Amino acid sequence: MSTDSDADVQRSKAFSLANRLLFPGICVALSIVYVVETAGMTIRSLRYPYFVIGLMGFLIATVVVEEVLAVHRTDRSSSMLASIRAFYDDWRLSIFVGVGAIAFLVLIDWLGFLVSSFVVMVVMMYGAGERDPKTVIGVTTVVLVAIYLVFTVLIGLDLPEGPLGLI
Amino acid sequence: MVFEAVGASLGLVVQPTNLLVIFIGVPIGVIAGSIPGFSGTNTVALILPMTLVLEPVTAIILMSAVYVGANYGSAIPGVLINTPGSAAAAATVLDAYPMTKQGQAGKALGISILASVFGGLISAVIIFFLLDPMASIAFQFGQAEMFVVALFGLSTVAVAVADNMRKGLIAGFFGLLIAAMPADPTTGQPRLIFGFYELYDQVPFVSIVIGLFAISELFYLVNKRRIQDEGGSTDLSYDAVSSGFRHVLGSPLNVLRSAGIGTVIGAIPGSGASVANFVSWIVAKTASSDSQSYGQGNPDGIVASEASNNAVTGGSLIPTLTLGIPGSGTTAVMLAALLLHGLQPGPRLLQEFDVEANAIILSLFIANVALLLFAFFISKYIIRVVLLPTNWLVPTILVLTAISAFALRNSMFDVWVMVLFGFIGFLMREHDYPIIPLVLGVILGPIAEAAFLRGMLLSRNDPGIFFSSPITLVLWALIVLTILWQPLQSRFRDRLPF
Repeated sequence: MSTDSDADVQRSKAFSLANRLLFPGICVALSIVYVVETAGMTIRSLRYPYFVIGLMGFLIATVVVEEVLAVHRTDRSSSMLASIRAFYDDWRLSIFVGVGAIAFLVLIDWLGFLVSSFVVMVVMMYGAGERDPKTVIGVTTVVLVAIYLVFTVLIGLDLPEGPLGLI
Repeated sequence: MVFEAVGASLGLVVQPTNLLVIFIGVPIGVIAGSIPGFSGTNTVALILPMTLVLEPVTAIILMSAVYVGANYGSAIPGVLINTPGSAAAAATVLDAYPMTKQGQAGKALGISILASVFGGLISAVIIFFLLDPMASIAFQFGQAEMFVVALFGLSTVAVAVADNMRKGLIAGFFGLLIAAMPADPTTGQPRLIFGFYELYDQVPFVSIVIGLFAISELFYLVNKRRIQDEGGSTDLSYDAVSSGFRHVLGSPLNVLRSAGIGTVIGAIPGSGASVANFVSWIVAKTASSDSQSYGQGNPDGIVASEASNNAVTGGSLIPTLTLGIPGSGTTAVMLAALLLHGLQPGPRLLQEFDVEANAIILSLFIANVALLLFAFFISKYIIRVVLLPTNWLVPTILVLTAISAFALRNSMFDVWVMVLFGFIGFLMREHDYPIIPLVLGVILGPIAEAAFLRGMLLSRNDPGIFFSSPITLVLWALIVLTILWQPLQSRFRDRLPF
């Protein structure tokens, strides 16, 4: 789904524009928060980061204008809701991985690294299409044993532990 | 006299104990380096206590061998699963992973092996003969030069890798801004750390690199059956790896140039393999008649990146041995080892311990031969990763990268950063913002900021210092030329003869 791809042209103008401006928006938001957070510091310390923010801001302004004009110039009939549905259909598995990754990090705090890895690997493999339970359990076990041997036994790393005392 | 010293050094290196530690150290380095996030510095630091029982020279030879192995090892996951083991292999994945997807993983691996070996060997030859003069050239780069060279590197890469130059520059400046989030280097005052003390010192750039490359790739990988593009096949034999060797042998100019770049950059304290591989890649792309194919599976891109990042091992020994200033994190640990063993680095090292110093350099030759043998042997087996179904690989990579990011500082914060930058990387790739300038911005950020602040301090806040030497003036001219080149070329495309 690159900016000028067929998929993008089939989205509504509002959806496409929001999508295109998401990364520049993150850059601008970070810059604003940076300026607010560093407002009380001496200007001597801020010359370098403000130089970076200034140049980046100028470039973002030009790109935003370009993106808005590009979206404005194309004819689109799709509604916002239909665009969201189409996006979900295109990226269903990717969204599953993204949600799985966040769930994994949250689970580590509760169950420890190895237990949460086991849960997430099993769910992800099944969700991504692997239906043989022996393969799912086998691959998961091999990977986790290898991680334990390399990181804990060889390197001496303490794997993240949950409040239940599990690793 | 010189030949006597070289003979004595060679005699020292070929002692059975020293040969043994080389052939043990290189595989340790390759395996450790191939674990994403586990850098050469970590590996060398880990074996430091074990070297205390060894003779001083044997200890340093072991650490050099581990360093050589680890520098190459980081390319392996980069070639096979788009996950550079460290920032030193970040430019390698640009061409290696597309080749893997095209069914040429064996060739890509072969190129990375031999280019690394040649890079290491050439750099060893260069420093063996030019140790003193190179040290003096490296120290022509003061604070002003370092600041301008960082801007030059960033602008060149941003312009070269992006279809839209401004998007490339935005990505680069975003990287510089992220790198400027920790505490102010002069006052220690927190800037934008969101209450996380982990951000106070520095941003976890290895987690950022892993997130941008590996995690963002998972979002694409999960929609495919295998890493390799549909309909293709991967040659798993040694012949495929050998075809990569033949490509490197047919690219002597690229190898020599890249090894030279790696050696020089390695010799400049504060820079290193993470900078060298990008600079070398961009120089190769600029010099190529087929520059458009760089980043899409051009074998010469791998040659450039790998020859330069392994050449850094030799280059970084120059300031370490001659001035006692480490050229990289790994050589900082080696410097500690030298001191622990009673060898005082600095100009007197080459006079008082010339045999030992030369032995360390000569050991790099043997370490690179050991690397060639070991990497070639294991290539046939590790290449099979590309045949695994993605529904096995995606959860495995997620779990492996998570523990790798955690291992850097024993911090879950770094793992969250990795996943966050996975999402940002995906967003950038979807909208044609190249991720390479962002990576380079994060790497160069602390170097550029420190050089800027020190430069201003030295000049009593006169920005004229950044235009005061011939080196800076040439670099500024090159920056302007780089930025204007694309618009000028499109404006006068029909009228230019080239």
